[in-house]
Amino acid sequence: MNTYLSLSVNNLNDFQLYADAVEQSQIEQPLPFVEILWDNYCHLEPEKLLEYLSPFSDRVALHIMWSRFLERDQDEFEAFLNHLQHHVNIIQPVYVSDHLCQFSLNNVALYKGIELDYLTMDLEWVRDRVQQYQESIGRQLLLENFASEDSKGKEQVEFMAEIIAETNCGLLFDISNARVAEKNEVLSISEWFPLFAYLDSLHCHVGSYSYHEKESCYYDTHDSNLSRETLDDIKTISTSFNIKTLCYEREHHRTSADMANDMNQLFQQCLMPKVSCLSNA
Amino acid sequence: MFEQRLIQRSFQDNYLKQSPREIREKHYIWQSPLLFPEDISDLEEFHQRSQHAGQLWLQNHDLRPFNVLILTHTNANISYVFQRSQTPNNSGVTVGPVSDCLLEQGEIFSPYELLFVELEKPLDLDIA
Repeated sequence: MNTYLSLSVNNLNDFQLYADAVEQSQIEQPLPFVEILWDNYCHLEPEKLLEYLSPFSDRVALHIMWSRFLERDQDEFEAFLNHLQHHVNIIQPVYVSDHLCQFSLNNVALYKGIELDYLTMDLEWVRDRVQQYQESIGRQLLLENFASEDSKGKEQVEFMAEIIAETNCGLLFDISNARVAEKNEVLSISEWFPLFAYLDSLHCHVGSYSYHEKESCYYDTHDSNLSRETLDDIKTISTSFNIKTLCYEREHHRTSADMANDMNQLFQQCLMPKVSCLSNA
Repeated sequence: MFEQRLIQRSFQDNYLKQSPREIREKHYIWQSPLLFPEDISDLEEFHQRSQHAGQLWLQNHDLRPFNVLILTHTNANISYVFQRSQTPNNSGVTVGPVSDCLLEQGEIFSPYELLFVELEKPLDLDIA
């Protein structure tokens, strides 16, 4: 089966940079779909959003980072879902994806999302929230794996598998996040493979990571070129499992030439298909 | 240890505060810099905190569906307007400080004497 390769147009401000990157790459245009970080577009009317994205593709995937859907109180959660539902109804996205993450501690707004403590997290609470999320948007929600930095992440696969089994949500597998977890000696990429076998196909992200000297730890950063290890991981996974979509992410320290080069390497790994009947997740 | 470092860094980045404080009530992320002023009468500090709040609002980690934020310091007669990016290749806009009370009504936000409103419809901000 074909792998549909695309990129995440992270924000409205840098459209031309992303357009230049696609133009300079070997990837055929229009793209089979384009992913956006919905956080940076959710203030716009969805019709406007489709118009702006049309030079990239007429199919859009919605990726969400800061929904904080496990932390919002019920009214706030419903307000978020109503707003998203309006966009989903009009955009009819290829997929909607979000994160199992924590963004506050004792009402302190954290500067970044942190991994859940799966051992103490209330599985029923997560299950109920995911179910409500899916019922509201009228489709399956994909949840992205976390780039584990410490031992909390050891239970990630088991927790994700339980949520998937109980809610029928999907997985957005970030290959470079999984590589980070392996480099931090938390979780080997191969520990995800039994779960892949349970899924019909995989929706994937790929980006880059960096080593933080002070913390002695690797982080998901999207600030450099794809690593050789990540490219090898894609090859390993695509040999045994069906990668349906693969979306390239780059947010920092980027030039269109660097991004085009990364996308060309992905193209060579995945053999880009023609734009055809990409169905929704 | 990890949590302490995380909270410390979050206070520095979001709240513009070196040492963490207890936070009893939930608040929007963009409001973080306005919660703990050092000196409530120091207008320079108010500008710094308002501008940082505006940057956080423009980033929209609260996922609010609004296009415009107007902030007014009712005692000091100072306002700011922030508008999210509307078209490709354009970033969000900050107007201010404006020496005027642009708001007479709105949601009240303390500890400063602040009013704010968020608008769904963008404004015609031709500031060129």
